[in-house]
Amino acid sequence: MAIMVFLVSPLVPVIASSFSGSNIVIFPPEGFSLRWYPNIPANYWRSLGVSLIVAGLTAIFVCFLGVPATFALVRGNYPGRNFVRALLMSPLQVPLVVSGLIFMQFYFSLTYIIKMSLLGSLTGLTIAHVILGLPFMISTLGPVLERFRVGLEEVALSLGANRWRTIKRVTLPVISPGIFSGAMYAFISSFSDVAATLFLVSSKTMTLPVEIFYAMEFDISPSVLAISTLVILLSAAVVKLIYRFTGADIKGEVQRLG
Amino acid sequence: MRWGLLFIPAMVVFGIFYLIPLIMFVLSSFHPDLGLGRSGATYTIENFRHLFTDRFYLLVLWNTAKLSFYIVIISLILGFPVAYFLARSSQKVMRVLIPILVLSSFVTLVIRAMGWVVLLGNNGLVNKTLLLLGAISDPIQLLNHPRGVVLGMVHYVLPLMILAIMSVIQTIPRSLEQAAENLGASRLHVYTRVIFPLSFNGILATSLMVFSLNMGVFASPLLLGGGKVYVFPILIYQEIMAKTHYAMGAAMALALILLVLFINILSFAIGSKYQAPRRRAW
Repeated sequence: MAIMVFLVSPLVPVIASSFSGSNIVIFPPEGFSLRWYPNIPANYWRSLGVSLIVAGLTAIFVCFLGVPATFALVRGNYPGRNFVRALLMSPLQVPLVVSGLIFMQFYFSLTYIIKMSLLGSLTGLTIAHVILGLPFMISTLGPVLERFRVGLEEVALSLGANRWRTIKRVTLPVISPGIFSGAMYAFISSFSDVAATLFLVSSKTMTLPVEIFYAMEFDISPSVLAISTLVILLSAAVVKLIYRFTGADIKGEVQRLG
Repeated sequence: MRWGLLFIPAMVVFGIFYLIPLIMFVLSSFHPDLGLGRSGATYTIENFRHLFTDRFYLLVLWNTAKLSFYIVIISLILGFPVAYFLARSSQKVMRVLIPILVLSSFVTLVIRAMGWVVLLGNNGLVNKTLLLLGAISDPIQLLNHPRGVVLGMVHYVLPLMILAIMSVIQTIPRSLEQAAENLGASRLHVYTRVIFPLSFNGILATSLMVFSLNMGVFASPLLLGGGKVYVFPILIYQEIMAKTHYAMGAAMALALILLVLFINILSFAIGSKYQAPRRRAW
C-alpha cells in the first residue's frame, strides 16, 4: 500500500509548492500564496497551446488512420498481415530518443526536396506523434474489436443494410469506447513526450514538456510549478475520461506504458 | 470483403515517414563522419569498429545495462506484492486504485522529475526526514547520482510492472492457491511453489520489456543525474547534437537496438528452460 503513496509522491511537491508564498522552491512550502498562477510567463501558455494542438491533431489523425488499420489487422486474412502488424507496432520497440533522431534526420534531408522545413513545424511534430501514437490505438482497439460479436453485423446485414451502413450504425457505436480510449492514449503520448519531441521543436514551435525540460536546466521557479500543476490536473481529467468510458482497461495500459 | 485495403492509409504514412527514414538512418551509420556534421558517401564499418574498440563507449554501455538491470530487479521486488494484491482484489477496489496508478504515468516525466528534484535534494524532504530520524548524520547524495536515477526510473516503470504482472496473476485461478493451502502449504509456499512458477513466463516477458525500456531512456537520467550519470542514449544524444557525428550516432543507436534485441532473445531462450510443470490430469 505504501507503494501507492510512493507512486503519487513526486506529484505532491509539485502541486503543493506551486502555492508557496516564498520565492524559492522547497518542500514543504513556506506560506501560502496564489500569486504564481496569474504570473505564469507567456511562453508557457504558448507552449501549452502548441502541445494541446499537436496532441489533439494527433488523436484525430490516429483515429482516421488507426481505426481502419485495426479493422484490417483484426479481420483481414492476407499474406503479410504479420508484417503489417509488426511495422505498425514497431515505434514502440525503438527508444524514443532514437525515433526522434530518425525523424530529425529525415526532416532535415527533406528540406532540400520540398521547399519547406518540417523541422520545428506543427506539421512535422504532428506526423511524428501520429506515427509514435498509432501503436496505442491499434493495441487498444484490437482487443475491443476482437471481442465484438460479429453476429450484430450479420443481423443488420440480413435486415437489408449495406456494408457501410452496418459499420456506421452498428459496429462503430459499439466499439466507440475503444476508439475513444485509443485516441486518449495517443493524445497523452503526444502531449507528454519529451525525448523524441526534443529534436523536432524550434523556438517558434515549442511544446510544454520540452519547455519545462529546458527550464529545469536553468532554474525552477514556482511559476513552472504552477503550470505543471495545471498539467497534472489535465492528466487527471484524461484519466477520468478514459475510465468513465471503458472501466479498468488493463491491456491498453500495459501497451501504453511499454 | 477485402479488409486488407483498409490499412493502406496507415501504411502509406508509415512507409513514407517511418520506414524510409528508418532505412536511411540505418544506412547512414555506414557512412564515415567527415567532421563539421558532414558525412561521406562511401560505405565503411569504421563507426562500428570505433564503437567496439573504444573503452569509454563500452563502459557506458555496460553501466547502462547494469543500471537497467537493477531497476528491473527493484521494481520487481516492489511491484510483485502490489500486483498480487490488485489481482486478488474486487472490482470496486481496482476501480479506485488503478486510476491512481495510471495517473502518475500520464503526467509528463519532466514534471515528475521536477518533483523528484525538489524531494531528493540535499535540503529536500527525504534527506531532512532521514536526518531528523537520526538514520544518517550527513545528507546522502541522491540527486546527480545513480541513486536518484534509479529511484526516478523505478517510479517511471513501476506502474507498467504492476499492471502487467497483475494480468498474469489474474490468469492463475484462485482455486489452485486454495488447493495448495488445503494440502498444507504455508502462505510462503503458495507464493514460491504455485504462483511464482506459473507466472514466471509472464514475469520474464515483462522484465525484458522493462529492461529494454530502461536501456533506451534519455530524459530521466539526464534530469535526475544532472549530467553526471551517463547512460548510452545520452551518449548518442551528445554524439549527434554536440559533436555532430551523425553517422557515428546512428551507428551507436543501431548497436543499442541490436544489443537489446540480442539480450531479449537470449533471456527468452534461457528462461523457457524453466517452465512450470504442465498439468497432466485435468
